[in-house]
Amino acid sequence: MTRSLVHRPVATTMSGVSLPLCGQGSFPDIATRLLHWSQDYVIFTISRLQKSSKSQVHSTFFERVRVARCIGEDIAVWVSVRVTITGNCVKKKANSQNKNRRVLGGYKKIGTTFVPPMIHRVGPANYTSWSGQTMPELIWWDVIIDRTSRGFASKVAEEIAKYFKTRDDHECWWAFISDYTRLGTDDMRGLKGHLRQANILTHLNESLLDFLNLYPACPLSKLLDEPPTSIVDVDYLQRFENRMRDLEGKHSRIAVLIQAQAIYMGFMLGKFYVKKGLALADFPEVEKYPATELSRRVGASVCATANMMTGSMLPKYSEDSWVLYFWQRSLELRPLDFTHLENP
Amino acid sequence: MTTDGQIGAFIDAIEARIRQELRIRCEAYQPDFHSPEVFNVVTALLARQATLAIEMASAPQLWNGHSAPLFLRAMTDVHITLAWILLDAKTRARQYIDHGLGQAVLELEHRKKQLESSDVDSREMLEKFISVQEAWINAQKWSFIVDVEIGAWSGKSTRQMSEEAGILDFYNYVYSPFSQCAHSTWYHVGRYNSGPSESPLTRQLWMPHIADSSTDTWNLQLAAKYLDKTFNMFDEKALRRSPSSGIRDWIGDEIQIRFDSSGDKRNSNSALHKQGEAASKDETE
Repeated sequence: MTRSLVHRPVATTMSGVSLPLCGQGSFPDIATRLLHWSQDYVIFTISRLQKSSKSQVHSTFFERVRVARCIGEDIAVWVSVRVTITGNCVKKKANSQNKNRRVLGGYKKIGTTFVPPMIHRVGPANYTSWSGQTMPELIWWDVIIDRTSRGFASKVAEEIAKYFKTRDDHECWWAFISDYTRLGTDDMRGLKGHLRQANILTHLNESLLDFLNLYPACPLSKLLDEPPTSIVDVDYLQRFENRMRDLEGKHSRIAVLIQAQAIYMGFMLGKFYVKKGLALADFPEVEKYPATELSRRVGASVCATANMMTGSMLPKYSEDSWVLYFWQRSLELRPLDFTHLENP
Repeated sequence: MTTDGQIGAFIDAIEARIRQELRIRCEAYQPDFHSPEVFNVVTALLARQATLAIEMASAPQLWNGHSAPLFLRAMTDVHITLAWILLDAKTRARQYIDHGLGQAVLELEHRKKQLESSDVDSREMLEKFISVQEAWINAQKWSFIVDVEIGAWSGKSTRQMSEEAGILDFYNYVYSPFSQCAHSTWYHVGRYNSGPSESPLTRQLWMPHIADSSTDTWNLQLAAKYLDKTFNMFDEKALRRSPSSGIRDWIGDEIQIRFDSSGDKRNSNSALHKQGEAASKDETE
């Protein structure tokens, strides 16, 4: 399942689909066909188009690309796109069409509802909120990185992957906190033993301790030898809250790094492969995100891939017990303050 | 003699009281993280109702037949909307948000269309507007997967919503009359902006005019009454407790205390007063 969702389409995008872009002052008219979408595809498409005369490229196409780019970054969907190149005669027609472009022109009217193109052509998309669900699922990686280093977080990922690689019949990548709710006592004991043997358990637990004291019912608490004390370190809470402010932006550096951590787990588990030449093939470059152009491309692909993961590996928001607990407990830690209503 | 200072102090006191009542309710309401949008929508509507009441209270020059119904109609709308949402909060809060996002997308698309033919001067401003609007939508749901619903947000008429919420009388006696002013129908315009000419010789013609409609504290009391109704409904349906809002009575008492000797009584001749009286006869509210 994981392979079919991630590996095959990425390869297909670049090798299995022939894009009829001739690059000679041509004009693409947009139609859609089923094709897996990724950031790589969008970048590939744009770079090909830029070889042609940009002035002759229909603006609608760029609009579509812009939209698709957002999708590539933020929603795991199967998107259909077919780009048809025609000559200048079509360009004239298209220009006049553009002038008379109707508002919501691409939407499909069903009763009193206008359904957006991406939905009526591709089908309903499950929306997974980054800040509402994915971020709390991956937040432990940031806790580790914050308390130790990215290098140590990578080591943790490698060792967890090593442990599960040979015995794992699960479809998850052990990157999300919810994944650890699946572990029974024996599994957890085995994992702890492995991490202890790798000489990282103590350091890992130390890095997670303040966080687990904030959220004692977190599935990761089982990594500790003793249950968390639940004593809240106010300074840490403030630090954690500040980190979350940064993490809320999905494309912030620290947010991309924790998504990269999840992808790394996929690599380490041998469940995720990338074809040579794709941005993700330069995965280590993400370390420099967002300083270099390549790192930004890699980062965008990381976000897109993380989206695919959430679509297939996370429970529905309303059934995600860790996330529901996280928000409830966060409210207890930082109760809403309504004084502004009385004292504007 | 009522001084500006007395009125100002009275307005400040009203605002403080309303804000306090709002805060108490918001603090008492516990969010359910299975569907956080319920908390977001319900408390927002409560705050909206408080805002309308405060805004109206703070502008005595609007307590007349031309303007007060605009506020009062909006307040009845909020009340009906909240009453209907609370019947099935989880589904309807989501529906309410989705509709609002759809409206934002629709406006966004119109602005993008406008951008195509805009001149250089307005282009920058438009682009900024589009960017801000898009960010607001995307923070909640990606704009390109938002349905645009051009019908009623609930899929029902306000009358149907009122009927389902068991407040049809409120709709008939309050919402509908005040809607006449909001929509400037002949019902309103024929009273406030037109009337038969003086002379029998020209009686066939009605003269346009701007009716004298003086400030009437009755309008303020109506605003307080509808705010009470909304707060009380929230107490019962959302907080599961006895209704406890008494802003209208409090305002009445304050008027007595502060202005009893000032002669600042409601204007019994005002057309709106009659309209307000009709509204006040709704005993089922």
